[in-house]
Amino acid sequence: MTRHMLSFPIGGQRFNYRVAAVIIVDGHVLICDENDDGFSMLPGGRVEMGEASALSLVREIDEEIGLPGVLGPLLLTSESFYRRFDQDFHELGLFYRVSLPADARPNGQSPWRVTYDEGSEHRFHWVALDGDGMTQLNLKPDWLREVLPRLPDQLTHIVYDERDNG
Amino acid sequence: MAEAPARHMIAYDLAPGRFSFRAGAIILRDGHVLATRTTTETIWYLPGGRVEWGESTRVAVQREIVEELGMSGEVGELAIMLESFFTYRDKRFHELAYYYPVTLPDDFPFRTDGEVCHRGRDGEVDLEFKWLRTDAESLRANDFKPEALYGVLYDLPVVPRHVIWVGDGEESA
Repeated sequence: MTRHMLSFPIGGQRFNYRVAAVIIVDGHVLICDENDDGFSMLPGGRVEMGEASALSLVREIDEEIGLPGVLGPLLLTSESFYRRFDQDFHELGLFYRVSLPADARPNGQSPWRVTYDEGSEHRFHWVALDGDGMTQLNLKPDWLREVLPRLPDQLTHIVYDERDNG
Repeated sequence: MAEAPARHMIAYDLAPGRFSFRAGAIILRDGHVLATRTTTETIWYLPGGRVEWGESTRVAVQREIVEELGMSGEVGELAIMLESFFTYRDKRFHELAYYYPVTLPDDFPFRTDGEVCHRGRDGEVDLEFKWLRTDAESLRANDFKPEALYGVLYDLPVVPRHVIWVGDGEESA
């Protein structure tokens, strides 16, 4: 079946609809570096046409990490407006709490796991939520660095706009 | 005069159907919700419309209220985020919709006799508005969509509620 990512150009800009996993074990969050582009993200990816966000994330976890993820509650729903690589983005994000099998946990190794999916290399790391690791991380979207160490216990709506409106 | 920036609605046709991104207003008064429809259709729905590129859903709701009702409303915090999958006129839809409670000025006409209380225009189409009772039976009798909102319109969540709704005979991939 042909897959259609919900990411498309509009007037030379780009609309993205993403879903991501918040995986926290022993005070560490699992993050992913893709193709050494200098950015870190939470595991996840773009939602496909016709696909419910929850199913989409289970698929992405399986494809990227290669482990079965169990979805918890939706924690964050975000609308982000930002610019990267000379392109303006309008991005919707849904962030679910996800748990992995019990033996998937920080073990001192970095990267913890390296996988290949659709021509991309994914390097996974566990980053301590309470140390310098978070501040040194070039984690996108930016507001995650603030929010992850103090996650709200109920669904929270975030609007993040880094455009210069002046 | 400076040329207005181009407006781009977020809706996209792909081979399997249409993706659309909407923002809607939940306007409640005395056990009723304000609903609208185009005069050429039978389905009633919440005021609102498609989100434009670069526009937050909150701003989209504010804009749509002004366009459709000719007045400003006070927009509250996000109440419902709905992902729905349905077929309408032989076309499959994957729709994201963000719903906000909105308070209108007190002088907006309120009538409970089922008659039209307001008429407006949105682009090329004529709109009419009426107040529907919020119970599911009344919404169903009036062919109100989306059905996923039956049962939630009279008791709005304080914390945003996320709903995934798959229509009859549909499957989400």
